[in-house]
Amino acid sequence: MGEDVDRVYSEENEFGARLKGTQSRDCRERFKMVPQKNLNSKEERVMKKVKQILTIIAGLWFLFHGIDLAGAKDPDYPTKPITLYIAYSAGGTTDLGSRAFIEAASKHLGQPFIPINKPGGSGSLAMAQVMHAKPDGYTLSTIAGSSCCVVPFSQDAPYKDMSGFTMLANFHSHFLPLMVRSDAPWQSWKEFLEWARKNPRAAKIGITGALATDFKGIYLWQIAKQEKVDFTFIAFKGSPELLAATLGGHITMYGGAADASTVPYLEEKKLRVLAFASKEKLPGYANIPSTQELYGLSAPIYVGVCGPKGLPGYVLKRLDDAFAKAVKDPEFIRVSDQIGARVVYMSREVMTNYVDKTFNEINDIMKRFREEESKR
Amino acid sequence: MDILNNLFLGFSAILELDNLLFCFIGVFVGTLIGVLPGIGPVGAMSLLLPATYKVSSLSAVIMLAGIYYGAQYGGSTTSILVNIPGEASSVVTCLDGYQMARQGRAGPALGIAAFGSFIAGTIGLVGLMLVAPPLASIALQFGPPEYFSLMCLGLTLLIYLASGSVIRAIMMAAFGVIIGCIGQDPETGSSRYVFGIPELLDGIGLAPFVMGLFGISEVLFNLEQDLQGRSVLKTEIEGLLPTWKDWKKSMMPILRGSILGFFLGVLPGGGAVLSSFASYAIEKKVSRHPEDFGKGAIEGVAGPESANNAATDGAFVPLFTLCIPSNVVMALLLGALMIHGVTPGPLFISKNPQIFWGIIASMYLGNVLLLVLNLPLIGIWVQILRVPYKILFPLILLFCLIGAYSVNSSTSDVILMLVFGLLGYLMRKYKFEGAPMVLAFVLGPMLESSLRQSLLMSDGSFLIFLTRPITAAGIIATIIMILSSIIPTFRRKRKTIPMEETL
Repeated sequence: MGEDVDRVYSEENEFGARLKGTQSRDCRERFKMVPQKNLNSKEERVMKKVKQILTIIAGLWFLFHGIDLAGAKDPDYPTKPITLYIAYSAGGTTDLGSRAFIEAASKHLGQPFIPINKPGGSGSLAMAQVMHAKPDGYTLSTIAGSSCCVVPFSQDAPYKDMSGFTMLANFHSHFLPLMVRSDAPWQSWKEFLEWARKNPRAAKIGITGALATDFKGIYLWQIAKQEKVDFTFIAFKGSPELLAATLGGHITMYGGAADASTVPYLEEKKLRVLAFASKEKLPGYANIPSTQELYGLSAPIYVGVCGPKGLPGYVLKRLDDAFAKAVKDPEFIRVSDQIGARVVYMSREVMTNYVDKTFNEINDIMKRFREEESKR
Repeated sequence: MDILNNLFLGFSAILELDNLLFCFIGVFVGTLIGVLPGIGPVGAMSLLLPATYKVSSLSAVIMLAGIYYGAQYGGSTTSILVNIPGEASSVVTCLDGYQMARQGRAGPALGIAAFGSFIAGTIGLVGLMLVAPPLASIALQFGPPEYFSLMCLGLTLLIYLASGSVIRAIMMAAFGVIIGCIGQDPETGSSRYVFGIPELLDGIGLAPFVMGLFGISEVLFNLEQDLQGRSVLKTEIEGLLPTWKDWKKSMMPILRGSILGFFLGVLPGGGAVLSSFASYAIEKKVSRHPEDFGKGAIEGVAGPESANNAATDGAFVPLFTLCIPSNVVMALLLGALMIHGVTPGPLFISKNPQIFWGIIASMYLGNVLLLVLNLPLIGIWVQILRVPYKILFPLILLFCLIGAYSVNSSTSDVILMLVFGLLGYLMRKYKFEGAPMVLAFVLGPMLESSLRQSLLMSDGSFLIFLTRPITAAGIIATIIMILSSIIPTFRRKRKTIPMEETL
C-alpha cells in the first residue's frame, strides 16, 4: 500500500511540475503556489479546480486499483476470463489440443479462457509475454519442448532458464515416429542403422528446423553419435514441407512429429515406422522400438500450461484442481484422439521435475553439439 | 457423366437450408475481413473454428472455406482504392489498380477484379474437379531442387515488374533479399540481423512489410501536398462497371491468369505467392502496349486478381488429395476436418464423396454469392474516394495499425510497419519501386532454403540441378528469360540512354 501512496504523490508532483514548468524546488510547495498565482482569471481558477479534482480521482483510482492487486485475496479466483497465449500458429496440433484443453478446464473454473495465438521464436515469444505478466493467474501460456528446452540456448532468447515460470500441468504428448516410405528396403531400425553405417552421410533425415534450434532433431543427432553413424540432417520449414519431401522420395526419413497430415499415410501403410524418438508410441505400434527403450533417450515432445513465477497459493490450488479434472473430460479425450495427440497428465510437481531434468539433459547434448560444430 | 452425377450428389448435399446459410455466412465474413487491410482469414477462421464443433463436418468446411475464398475477393478492394495491399498477392494489383482509381476508373477496376475472380474461381474449380489426383502426384515430384529452379525463374520476373529503371529494380530486389534474411538461418539456426531483439528471430512478417511499404508510405507521400478538401480522385468517376472495351482487353489475361494461378497454387511449397507476380509479368510481356503498365492498364488488374483466386482453388488439391496443407489457412481447414473425424488424403475422394463433392458444389455456389454480394458494393466503395484526405488518412492509418497488430497480436509488428512506411516513403521520393522488393522478399528465403536443402541432398554437388529433368528445364528457362531481356536492351541501348537522361 505504501507504494501506492507514493504513486499518488508522484502523480501530484508531476502535475505540479507541469503547471509551473520549473524543475528545482520542493514539489508539494510548488503545487500550493500555483492557484495563488493564477487567481486573477476566473476561468483559469475554475480550470484549476477541475484539474485538481481530476488529479484526486486519478489518485484514488490508482489507490484502489493498487489495493485490488496487492490485496492478495481473490478467493473467488477466477472472477474474469483467463488469457492463454498459444505459442504456435492456429490450426496446428498444439493449437487444436490447447483449445480443447482450455474448453474442458473452463467447465471446472466457471470462467472462459481467451486463447491468443502468439507464434514465434520457437514458442518463446508467448512465454516471454507470460514471464512479464502479473502473477495473478489471469495470464497463462502453453509450453512445449521447444520453448522450454532449446530456446534458452539460443543467443537472442528472451529468457535463459526456466526460473521465471511456474509449471502448472502437462496435458498432451505428441508422437515422433521415424518414418521411411513403404517401398524403402529397410524393415527395421537395425537394418537402417547398418545401411547408414556402411554409407556415411547417405541417410538424409528431414527435421523441422535447424539442428541447433530443433529439440527433436538434436536427440537424433545424439543417437547418431552413440551409434557412430553419420546422418545428413536437412532442415525444413514445417512438417507439411517435410512430409511432401518424404513422400516424393527426395529425402530418406521423416524425422518430425506425427500430425494430422501423417495419419492417412500410416493408415494406408504408405509410410513405415522404423522407431519412435518419443517415449510414447502410436496405438498399434507396440512392437516397434522406441529410442527410450534402445538408448534411454527420447525427445520431450510434451505440451502443457505454465504461468509466471510467484503465482499465489489459491490460484495454484484452483488451477491444479481444474486441470486434473480437465484431462479426464470425454470431449477433450475425443478431440485428442482425432488430432493425433495422446493425453499425458503431469501434475505441477511432476512437470516441474520433468522440465528440470530435460533442461539439463538438452543442455549437455547442446554443449557437445556446439563443441563438435566448432571443431568442423 | 460420372462427374455430373457426382456434382449432382454434391449439390443435393448442400441444398439444405443450414448448409446454404453456412455458405452465405462464410463468404460474407470473408468479404468483410478481405476488405479490412491486414486482417486475414486466419484470425477469423480460428475464432469461428470452435463454433463449428457442433455442426456437421460438411457445414464446418463449407463455412471456413467460404471465409478463405471470400477474403480473396475482398483483398483487392483496398489495393485499388487506397494502395494498401492486404497480402503479398495484392501487391501487383496496387500497381495498376490504384492508378486506375486515381483516373476515376475505380469502378471498372473493382468490377474486373470481381468478375475475374469469379471466372478464375470457376475455372479453378473445374480443375480441382477434373485433375486433382494426377496433379497431386506431379506436385510430389517437386523436391528442393525443383523449387530452387522455380524460385530462380520467379526472380527473373522482376525485370517485368519494374516500370522505370531495371537497375533500380534489381537494387531493390537485392535489398528485399537482405530483409528476407532477417531471422534465424534455416539450416544452422544462428541469428542473422537480429541485434538481440527476440521479435526478429522469426523474420519480418509479410503483412507489416507490404502494408508499411505501400499503405503508410502512400499516406506520408500525400502529406506533402495541400490536404485542404482534396480527395483521391483527380477526375470524375467514369462508370461503375467495366466497358466492352475493358472486357475485350481483360478476357485473355483472366484466362491466362486462371490457368497459371491454378497450377502454381497446387504446389505445396508455396507456389501460390508467385502466381499474381507471374501473371502480371506475362501480361506485360505479351501486351502490345507494355508502356501502359503501371499507369492504369486494366490487364494489370485482371490477370493477377484472377491468378490469385485460381491459386486459392489450386491450394485445395494438396489438402484433399495428399492431406498436405500448403499454408496456415489450409492447416486450419485440415484441423476442422480432423476434429470431425474426416481425414483427407489419397482415398479421401472415394471414401467421402458426399463431403468432397459437397465442398465443390458449395464453392460454385459461394462464387456466385460473392459476385452478387460484391457488385453492388462497388458503388459504395467508389464513394470512399470522394472522402477528403484529412478524414480518409487517419482512418487508413487506424486500419493499418489494427491490421498489423491483429496478425500476431504483437506491437513489434506495428513498429515494423511504421519503419517500412518511412522506408517506402523515402523510396518513393527517390523513385525506387516497392514491388520488386516484395517479390524478392517473398522468394529470397525460399530460394535460399531450397538451394541449401538441395546441396545437402547431393552432398554438395551442383550437378543435382542439371540431372533432374524438371529442375534442368527450370534452369534453362531462367537462362532464356534473362538472355531474352538482356539482348534487346543491348540493341536498344542507343535509344534508351537519351531517354533516361530526359527523365
